[in-house]
Amino acid sequence: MNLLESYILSIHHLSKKSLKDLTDLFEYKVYKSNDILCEVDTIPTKTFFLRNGCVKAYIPSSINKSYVRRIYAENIIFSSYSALIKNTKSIYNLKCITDCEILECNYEEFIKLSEKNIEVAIFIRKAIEKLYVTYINRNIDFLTLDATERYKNLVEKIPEIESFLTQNEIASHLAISKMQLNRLKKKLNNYS
Amino acid sequence: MELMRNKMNKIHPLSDETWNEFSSLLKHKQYPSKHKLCKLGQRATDSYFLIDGFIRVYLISENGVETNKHIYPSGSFVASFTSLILQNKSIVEIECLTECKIVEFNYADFIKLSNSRMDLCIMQRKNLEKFYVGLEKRELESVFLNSTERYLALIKRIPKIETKISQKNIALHLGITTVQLSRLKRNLRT
Repeated sequence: MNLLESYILSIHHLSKKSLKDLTDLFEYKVYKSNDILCEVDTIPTKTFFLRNGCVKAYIPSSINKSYVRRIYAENIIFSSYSALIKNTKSIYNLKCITDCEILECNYEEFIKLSEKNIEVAIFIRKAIEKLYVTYINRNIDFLTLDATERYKNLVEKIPEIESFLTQNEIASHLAISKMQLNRLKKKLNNYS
Repeated sequence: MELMRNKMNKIHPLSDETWNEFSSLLKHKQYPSKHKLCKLGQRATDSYFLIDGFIRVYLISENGVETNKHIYPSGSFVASFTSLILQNKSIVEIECLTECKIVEFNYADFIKLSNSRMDLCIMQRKNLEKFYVGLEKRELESVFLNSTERYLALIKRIPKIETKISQKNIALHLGITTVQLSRLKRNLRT
């Protein structure tokens, strides 16, 4: 069983046939570091499964200080979701920050399948619930954990993060200033 | 009931058969102002549709500081959603800000029904999509908009909000003090 199949089954148990019908919609692609999966101001059509590598979702800014909203590590389904479901222009760039192995699928075909197959419909519903919970937990972390703890969680999730993002990007992702980030890291180094 | 069925049909049309089965799960309730539909630490089991009134969903930190996450007007679906999905203790409280007319239904029963009814399953998916889009919009507003802009967005979304709920709750929702809110409004008037 491959990674995508395990991921799908971890969310909802599909019959063999439904699982095959769903995974058949996904196409394997290899991307290089800095490749863009979804361009800002375009209408997205695809959803992605990250088999290997790292991707960032960011809102580009003219002031040279982009807001990195999400960083995806392997074994996750992701997309420029709001724009995808509303069929509007993406406000995010989805960019590979390492070489990546990705399985991509046309979202409209995914939805069409779900509207004919109730197992797939239940899968999508559960996947959105999971997305929602991850989202809420992230927001809770923001409200309840201090910046140091959020930084530590980030480094734990993606150990090489410092080589993938600039200090400005890491700071904006944690919603702190660059100065606060420096201070925080100095303190952590002093204690280690 | 009309309001609820119309709202749901707008999201995705439901057959008469589905609606009848779903209706059998519904309980009509009326609650006074300050009634809590869900308390912190409680395991949520119900989802709610607000027919009339205003409801707030908020977090309480360890030292008792409240943070309003969202204020819902009539015609909204409300729930301690994470608690319903994960079946764990609720991290939010849900409180009636005014007297409220509500339709309640057991979420597990609802899911069981939607797992066997395609139109209901599609409606729930689309409802979740709407929910998520709204969340993201608010997150980005809190990052990119200042408190004046967020205040203007709030009264645009719910025009009559000032007549219905206290300044304290509006300030909480914007993440500012009531003094800051007064000042903000005074600046808007000039």
